[in-house]
Amino acid sequence: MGKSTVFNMLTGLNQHVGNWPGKTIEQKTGVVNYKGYKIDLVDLPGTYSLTANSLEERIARNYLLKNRPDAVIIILNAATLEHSLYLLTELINLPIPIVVGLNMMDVAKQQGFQIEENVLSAALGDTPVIPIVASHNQGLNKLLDAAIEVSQHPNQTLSQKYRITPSDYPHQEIQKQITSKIQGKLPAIYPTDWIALKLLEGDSEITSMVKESAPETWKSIEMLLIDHEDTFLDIAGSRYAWIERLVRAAMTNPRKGTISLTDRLDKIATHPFAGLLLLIGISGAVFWLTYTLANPIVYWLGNSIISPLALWSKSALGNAPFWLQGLISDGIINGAGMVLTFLPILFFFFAAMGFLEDIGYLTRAAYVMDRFMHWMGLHGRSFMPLFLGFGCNVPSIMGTRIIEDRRARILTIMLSPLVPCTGRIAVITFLAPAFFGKSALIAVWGLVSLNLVILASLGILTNKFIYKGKRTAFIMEIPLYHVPNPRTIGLFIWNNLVEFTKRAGTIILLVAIVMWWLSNYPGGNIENSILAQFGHQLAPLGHCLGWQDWRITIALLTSFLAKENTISTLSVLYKIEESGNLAANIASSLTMPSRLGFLAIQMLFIPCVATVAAIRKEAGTKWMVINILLLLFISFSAGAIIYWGLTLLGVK
Amino acid sequence: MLKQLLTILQDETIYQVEDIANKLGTSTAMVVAMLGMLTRQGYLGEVEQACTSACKGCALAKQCKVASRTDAHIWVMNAR
Repeated sequence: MGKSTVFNMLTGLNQHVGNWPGKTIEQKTGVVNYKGYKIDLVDLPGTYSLTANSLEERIARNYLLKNRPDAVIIILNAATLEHSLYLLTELINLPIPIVVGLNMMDVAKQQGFQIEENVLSAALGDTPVIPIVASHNQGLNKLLDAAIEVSQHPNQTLSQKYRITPSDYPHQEIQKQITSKIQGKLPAIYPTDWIALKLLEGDSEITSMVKESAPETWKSIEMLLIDHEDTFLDIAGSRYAWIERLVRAAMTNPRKGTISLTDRLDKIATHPFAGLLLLIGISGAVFWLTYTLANPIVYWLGNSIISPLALWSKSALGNAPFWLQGLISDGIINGAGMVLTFLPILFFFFAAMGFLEDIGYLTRAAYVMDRFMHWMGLHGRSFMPLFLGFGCNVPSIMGTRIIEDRRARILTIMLSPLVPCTGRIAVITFLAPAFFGKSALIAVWGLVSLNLVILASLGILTNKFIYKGKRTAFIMEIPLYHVPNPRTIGLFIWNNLVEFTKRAGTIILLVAIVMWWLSNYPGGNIENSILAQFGHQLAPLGHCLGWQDWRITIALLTSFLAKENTISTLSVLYKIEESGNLAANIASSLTMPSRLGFLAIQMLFIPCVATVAAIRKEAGTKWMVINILLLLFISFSAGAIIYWGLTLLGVK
Repeated sequence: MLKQLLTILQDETIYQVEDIANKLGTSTAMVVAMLGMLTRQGYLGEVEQACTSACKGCALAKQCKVASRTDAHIWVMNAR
């Protein structure tokens, strides 16, 4: 509202900052020397009303009632008048002279609002209404003049002041009955009709006070209150009706009624059907852009930087021991280094997401998607955590803390790993061109869609047969579209790339080194290594899913530590510097059905260890185990169905 | 007016503030103001979109913030 700005502008250095007695809320007092007057100014805590909903509101109203200041300056935000007028409807009923400072008049004008302060003042019974721009020190002297004026003629001011009388409220008869019951029984500082009104509003502090001060009549008052439980809604509703009349009379917006660009765009973007089509189209375009722009760079980095660097390091370390040569060339450069070629994929993906978010589109996407969330028995609070999963599943799981209902929270946690994180998306984007050629984009899109379809189906089934969840209303205030800010988008990309690079330099590097060691010991031959022996044990599983090469099963298992490890492990095990393009080499050992099956498993497999740990922390061990078993079942079933289905259809 | 608003919200579906304003014949600013009041009274809950109070102390709070910067206000009905 600018209350503190006004206070600071008026008092300057003559301020004292402390705490309200016995409270942790900051108290600011100051002295203003103006036109020969020494004015003591108190900055009351910011409040929306005078009902004891918060400590701030209690402090503010108790100060006003107990200290009865000579005048109260209430600062309203002219640009959001409806928000700040509620407090005025309460203040105006207190026997204290008031001056209204209409702040941010410049912003209101920019937004097309025209406020007639004279109309506002007349509607308030000639209460002074002063337009100000506190940040530019405009109108503050007039504000002080008005405050001095009303404080010098309090009786005249109070008699003129408009009051929302009991007849404006429903339940006025009840208010009168309560007023008569408490008359003379409470401390004199409290106006009796105000106390009656607060009792009807359900004010906890006033209720306790009346209980203590008038125990003999409390029972009969309580009976009246029980019979009129919903009076708060009536009283507050009548205040809002008064606010609406006041705003209609005093404020005009010539732009109102004109159809803005946002309105026109939103007719499509938030339409139940067209909005969904647009969302599908935009998601497809994001993957197309990422794929088209990033993949040439990914292959250039792999073929022209990582592979030659690995070869060079091998020859440069020609005289070094075998383990050092292999570790640096195959383990570190080929393994962890290959994962760094994901950077262009992530760059374009985050650039597209950052752009969509910055212009305000993602909010519309959330609105369109929420209809589906309702089908799944999830309410609005679940959208944001699930949406976070597109970046990383860990914050997605942690983000479910905002969901109060445990049932909805557990369901959201269980579904979160099915949202494909950037790690999974990067892996399939890296492999798809070599696996599917010109159909790569459709395959990537189909795989992402498969995850979301399974997520939605699981949600709907769980909701229908297990939870039988009740839906709740969900309201969204959608902001205007805005011109994207390159700096904001740049920071979004940068933060995400830094996070990824940190992961590549830690967990992915560590796994690559361990994989190299396990695939080279004992004897330096991969086929006799510890890893190969373990891999051969898992061969039957691979055979069921359509691949004969144990290295693929191992790569899949290492994705448990970080999704990107699939690529680093395959790089180590396939020794790409000797045999050319990694993805092409893997593709050559798989049929078309098994390629699709493998990527489907990769997308649906149990999440990385960090996500599993987050599930355990947030939902407990039982749900973690259920989630792992569920995802193992879903991923291997999907992979097997795809492989055997396509094979039986004759796809090769 | 507040009672009418709550009656509309009994429908348990998704709304834009604009839809509600049209139904009540008032401005979106009035609806937002009333939603704020209902939130303070506990009828509604405002959805936190970034990791804020619930995620205090979480090492991933920064990452959450980065990924969820949508500036829409969202409210849901609370069970009462």
